[in-house]
Amino acid sequence: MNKRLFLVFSSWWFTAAISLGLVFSYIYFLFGSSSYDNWAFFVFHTPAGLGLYMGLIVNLLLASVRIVFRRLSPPEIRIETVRAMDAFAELNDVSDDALGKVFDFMRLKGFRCRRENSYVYAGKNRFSFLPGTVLQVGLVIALTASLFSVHVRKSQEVILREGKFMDFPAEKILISSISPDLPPDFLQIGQEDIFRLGNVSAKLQVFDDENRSYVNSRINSFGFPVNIKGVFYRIRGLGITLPVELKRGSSDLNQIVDIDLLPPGRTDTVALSGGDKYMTFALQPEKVIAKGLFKGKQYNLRNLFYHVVLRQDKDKGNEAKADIMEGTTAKIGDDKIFLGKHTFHVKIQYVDDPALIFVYAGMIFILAGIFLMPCRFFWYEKELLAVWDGGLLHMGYREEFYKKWGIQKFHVWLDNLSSGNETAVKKS
Amino acid sequence: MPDLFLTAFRESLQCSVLLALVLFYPAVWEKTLFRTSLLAGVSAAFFVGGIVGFSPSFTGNLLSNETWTFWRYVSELLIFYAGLLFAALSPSATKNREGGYLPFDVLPAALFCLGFFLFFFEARAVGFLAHDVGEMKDNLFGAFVSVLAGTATGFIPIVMLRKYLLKVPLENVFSAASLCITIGALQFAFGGVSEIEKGNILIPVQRNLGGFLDGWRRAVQSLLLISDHPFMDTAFSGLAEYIASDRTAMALTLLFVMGPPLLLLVRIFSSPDPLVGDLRGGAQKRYVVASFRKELVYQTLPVMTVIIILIILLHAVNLTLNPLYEPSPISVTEADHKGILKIPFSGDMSPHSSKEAGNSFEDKKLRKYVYFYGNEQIVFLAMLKPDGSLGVALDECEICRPPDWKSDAKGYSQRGEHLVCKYCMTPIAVSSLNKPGGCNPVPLPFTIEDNSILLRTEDVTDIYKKLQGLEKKGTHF
Repeated sequence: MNKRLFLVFSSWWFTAAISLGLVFSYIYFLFGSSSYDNWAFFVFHTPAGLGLYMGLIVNLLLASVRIVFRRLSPPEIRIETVRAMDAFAELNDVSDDALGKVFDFMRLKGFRCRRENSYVYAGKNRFSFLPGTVLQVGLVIALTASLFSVHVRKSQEVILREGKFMDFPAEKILISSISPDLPPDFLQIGQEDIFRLGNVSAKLQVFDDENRSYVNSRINSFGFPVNIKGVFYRIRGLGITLPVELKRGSSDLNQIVDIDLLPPGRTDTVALSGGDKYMTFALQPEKVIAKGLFKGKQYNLRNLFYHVVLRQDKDKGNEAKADIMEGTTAKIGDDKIFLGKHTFHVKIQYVDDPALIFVYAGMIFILAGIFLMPCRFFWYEKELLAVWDGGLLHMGYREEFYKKWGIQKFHVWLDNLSSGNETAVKKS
Repeated sequence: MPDLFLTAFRESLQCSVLLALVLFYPAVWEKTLFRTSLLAGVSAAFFVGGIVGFSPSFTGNLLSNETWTFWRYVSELLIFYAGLLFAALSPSATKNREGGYLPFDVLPAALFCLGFFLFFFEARAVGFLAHDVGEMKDNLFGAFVSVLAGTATGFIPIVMLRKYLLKVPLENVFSAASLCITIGALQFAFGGVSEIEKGNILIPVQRNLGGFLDGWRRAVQSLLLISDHPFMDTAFSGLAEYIASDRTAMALTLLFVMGPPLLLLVRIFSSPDPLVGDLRGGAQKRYVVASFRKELVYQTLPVMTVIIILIILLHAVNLTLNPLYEPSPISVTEADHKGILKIPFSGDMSPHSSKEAGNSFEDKKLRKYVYFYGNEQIVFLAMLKPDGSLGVALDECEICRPPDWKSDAKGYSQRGEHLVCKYCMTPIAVSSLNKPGGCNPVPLPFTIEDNSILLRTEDVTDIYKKLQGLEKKGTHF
């Protein structure tokens, strides 16, 4: 009963049934919007979906176990095994040393042979199951880890300026420097957004309770996240940090604002302290260049030039505008505004996910398996079994793939080995 | 109502073709129970589908046409992929099992269901159409009678030809697997009732596969913490973009539909030759092997037919999802400027165009204009080139001169970043506009002034007349 259950749950039919279940569930969600997201929720958060998902994991695992055991365990030396092969023959009137002849013949063909009194077993490419097994193992690891990751992952995004401490649940971190990889200028042409940054990196220090730094690391926007004590850090955004001074008469407002003005052309609105004023920023081009019918805007990204709108209400009314270079003062409505030299801030994604490392491991196995799979076109199992029983030599041959050619090959070998009279009972 | 009659006739004729393939298969025809089950399924489909489509109380309360179309697609795909199931259950590609592939008790029900789904959705759509047309013409009874007559007429050929059809050796050509796949592919090709449902099944298949790939790609990127960013490069973003592209969706669609027939083909050709060792005489051995191989060739006929049908359908999908863009020509006249045709940069000829100068043509879309010269229409095009300059040319090729009966193949359309000659389908780089020769459109001299393109009418007509004067293909100016 257990063996039967094992065979059922490890069979490819079961895989097909589960896959069909997943397909039909996706088809169900096609009727609505965000079909993939709804389907993913079904798979990971509902009993039916979880049943299908975990059934797939169990099935793949058991299938791998079945295949490995079958391939590594010695074959059953029985006449029934011979008859179950792709092609077999029963030869009478053979010499006493028929098994020896078969043994020598198969060794010449490059097979690994084993001979006992009553049988010869010849096999080749015994470990050809490895690429498929690596792929399946990778799938099992990735699927299992993904399931855990979906449920246990804690992710947060924080904005950090240079030189600012941040208290995370586990530790205190400091961004000591930010390397934004910004070009000195940027020419924007037409409506296409071609502003791309290769890699934004930041130096990160982690402090313990006694404010001693015990980790120094560099986190990046490009590449994979950095793992510091089990927590993954990654840069997800780059923005500008700008000191702003607003004067009206004797009243003075000093504030450092974090604004998202990249790519150039984007605007951002911040509320000034006091809550009654809003300031909208945008980068102004240094010059406009015309070429043919194209008009390009050239932005200086070293010394930023801003277009500032000051208003009472966030969305409308009582606007005052100014175009101002950083490090200078300008009049804006009834106020005077001074913008200091900009620095940068980064948006850091902080992910606490113990399963993520296993997801990466699973992906590596999957890629390795995919890379190795093409070799299965020529690397596949071949086996021959010859059993001597009461004057009859039962000989069978099996190839994992290209069975037609394997059967033809067997009959050619048979002709070479046969002594003449044979009663051939061939598998249909 | 002749249109309704013809529609019903067409749909029932298509159904009868599919029905004939199954009904006259010896394993089905020779058993009364199987035959009856299949015909009962078809009849039930006709009645139930017709009533569901025709009766307003059903029409109003049940699913919309789009949802019925969706379920028709699902049923056709199930029939198509049932071929794979039969191929997996069969011990060999050529031998048809005596007892069938399913337990005997299940077979009549399976045949009933097959007969039902061969015709149900079409019957519903025809019923719906009949009710619609009947209501419009205020003659529901007439519509009903037309549909009945058309449907009955569509089955006449199969009834009259049954004696001859029974003689066709279907069992030598079809296995259960290839029969399912053939029926599925023919259903894809026939489509639904075209008056209500447009397009073929592979279009939504490709769209939905593309949607799935995109969602999956985003989910994996989010899981691995390598999500895309609007302006910062991320790891494997190029690969992710490729995976979610139309090209990958098309490749997956190709694999999805071509997989079953190709697997069947491999299965057929990998069948080993029969064992003839116990036969006496070389001639008899050769005869047996030759007969077997001839049977294999016959078995490939339906599979090859399916492959050809699918290739045609995939080509139609590609054309639908990557259409040629061809704007309607805008009329230009000399107006206040005698001898000059003036086209403002906005491309919009209306005097109240709100587009600012400098924003024109930046969408990089092809624009066409027509100047009426006597009884003739001179069509020319304008487009922004990658270097920011304008290209202006006649909408005619020096080389390709389609015949008068195919005049709509004259000129150019746009596909992506190329112009395409509609007659020879040669893609032409936009950067080569204004350059004469080859498959390029014949350039026109122009100037730019006051934010407008200016062409001398005399230049346009002279070049046009010279082009029309060319008698031979390939003759250059």
